[in-house]
Amino acid sequence: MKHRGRGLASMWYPVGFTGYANPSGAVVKINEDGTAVVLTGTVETGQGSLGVMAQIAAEALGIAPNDIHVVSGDTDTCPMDTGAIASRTTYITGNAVRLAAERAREMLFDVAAGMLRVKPDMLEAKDHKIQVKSFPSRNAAIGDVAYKAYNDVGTPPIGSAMWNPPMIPMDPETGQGKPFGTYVYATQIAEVDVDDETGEVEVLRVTASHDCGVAINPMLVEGQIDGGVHMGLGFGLYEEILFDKTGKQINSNLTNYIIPTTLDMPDVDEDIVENYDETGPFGAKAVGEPSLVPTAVAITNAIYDAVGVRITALPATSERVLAAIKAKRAAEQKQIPA
Amino acid sequence: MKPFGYVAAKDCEHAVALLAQYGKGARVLAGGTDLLADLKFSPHPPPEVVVDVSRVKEMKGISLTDAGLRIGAITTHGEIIESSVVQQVMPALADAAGVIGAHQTRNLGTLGGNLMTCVPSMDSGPTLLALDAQVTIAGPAGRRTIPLSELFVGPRRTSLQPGELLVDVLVPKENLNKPTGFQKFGLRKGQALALVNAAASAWMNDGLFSEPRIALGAVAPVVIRAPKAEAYLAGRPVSEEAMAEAGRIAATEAKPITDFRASAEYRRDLVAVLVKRCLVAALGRATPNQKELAS
Repeated sequence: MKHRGRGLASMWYPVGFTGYANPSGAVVKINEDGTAVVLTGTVETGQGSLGVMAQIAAEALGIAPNDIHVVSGDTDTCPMDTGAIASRTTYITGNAVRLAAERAREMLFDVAAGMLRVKPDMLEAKDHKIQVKSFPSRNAAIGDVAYKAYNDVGTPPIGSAMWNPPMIPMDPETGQGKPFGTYVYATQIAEVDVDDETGEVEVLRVTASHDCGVAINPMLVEGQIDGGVHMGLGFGLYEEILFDKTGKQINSNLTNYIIPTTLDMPDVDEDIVENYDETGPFGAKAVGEPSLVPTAVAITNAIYDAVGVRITALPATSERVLAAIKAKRAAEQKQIPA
Repeated sequence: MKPFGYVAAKDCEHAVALLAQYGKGARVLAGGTDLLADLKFSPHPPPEVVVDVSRVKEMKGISLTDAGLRIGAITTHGEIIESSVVQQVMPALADAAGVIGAHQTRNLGTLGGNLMTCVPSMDSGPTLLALDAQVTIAGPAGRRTIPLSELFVGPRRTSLQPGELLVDVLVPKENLNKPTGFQKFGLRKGQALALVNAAASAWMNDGLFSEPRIALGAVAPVVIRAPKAEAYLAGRPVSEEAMAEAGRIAATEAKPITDFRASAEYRRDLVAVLVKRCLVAALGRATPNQKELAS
């Protein structure tokens, strides 16, 4: 017989390294036609981070993401980046890109100020134009300003920046400090069916609410959450590295190291809780690793709700769940007075 | 992959001649889903020649004949799933074909290949065994027909001699439409090896089990029948308790191993549950008249 259960788990997660410098650098070069090039040391690992870097640079420069050419991951030409790790790329590399773009933009403002006869601080970059704040009809096309900067004024608009999250090292006497620049928060709810004859757990639905700061690209955030739930599902129910007596891994390929397939995936209801963070680029924080943190716990809590057993060793394989159900039945039998 | 020879057989006789000529140096290629993995990863020397039978027309297709339902050995699992005849007279075989590997495997892999690779967890075996299937074997001396149960000798070992080829599988006419259930339990839903699989068939006329057949996979060196559980059911009134008891008896007949996937004890528990569920599924497929009598 199948039993339905629901479980909930919440988490907080820090962004970047713990109390250690983990900087990112970026160079933004505005071209003569009003497009731009971003140089970054970070690498794309499939999560769409370079698209986010293009969006951040485009937002700072008032142009479109398609106008940005991102050059990444080449240590000969790109500035240093600590890495696509610690869920830090949007927050830390994104801040470096934003600052570098703003510096390049300041150089454009200096040129545009002469063209529009205002002070540079009265200008803003928007819709492919440099325009006077509150008077958008007074404007010049970014391409025209950039061309003038290169060929007339002689100040090619290039900005570079480094960013390292604001931290305070631990005081060895008090143990106090500020180990991270910011934190994210999430709650996930899992709904499961547990078969009390086989121990099989079927996860039907996961609702995942994630504070990721401002979602620069909501579709990518949802994709990260889907991927995290997939990994959390594997952590919760399937994945286990097994060793023989000599310490050699027994299940070292994907036919016997069991990860969930598409057929095992539940419906995932991604819920983005936008929460502007003043230290992040345009308010953004992170979502990568955090998306898998609560999943296994939500599932094991749902198993408890369904059949009343606590699974304390992961993965909660069918065999372990059935063993727990049997142990519970045996304990209940003992309690019945003769 | 090490180099090997390759010949595409024109027909059964051509294939048999090649297999006889090369003996143990020949391997048969049908869908290739097992063979290719073998050629890539096997520590043994490569075959002298791979005999490709995938274009032998006689070995392909599903047809109702006077003798029963004939399924050519190179019929793919996908073709079995899609076959309206199979769905009508033998839906449990479509159930089994539907849980083999993934879509890609089912589109390439063949029924004959699944039987001839002869791993104990094969998903095609239990249903066919529960329906008393026979197999046609072509060899240098001509053709012979044997019960499917005599094909299985051990893990990855069949009774075929060098030079012989599995041509087709026949489920005898008297067992078409026999109520049958198939169940598989793996470590996940897709791309899973069976920890246990099972099939059960029985007539349920007059509210009694007759000619019950129970077959179990992945719990012995080959797919096996559970004769004690069958004997328990024969002639007994159809009831859920009888189905559960048959499952418990079948669990004692299984000889599962403990490995990193599961313990023998857990596999036995699964046998009891799956056999019961196979019988429940079979009852669900019994004609309305049979069900009425059973209730």
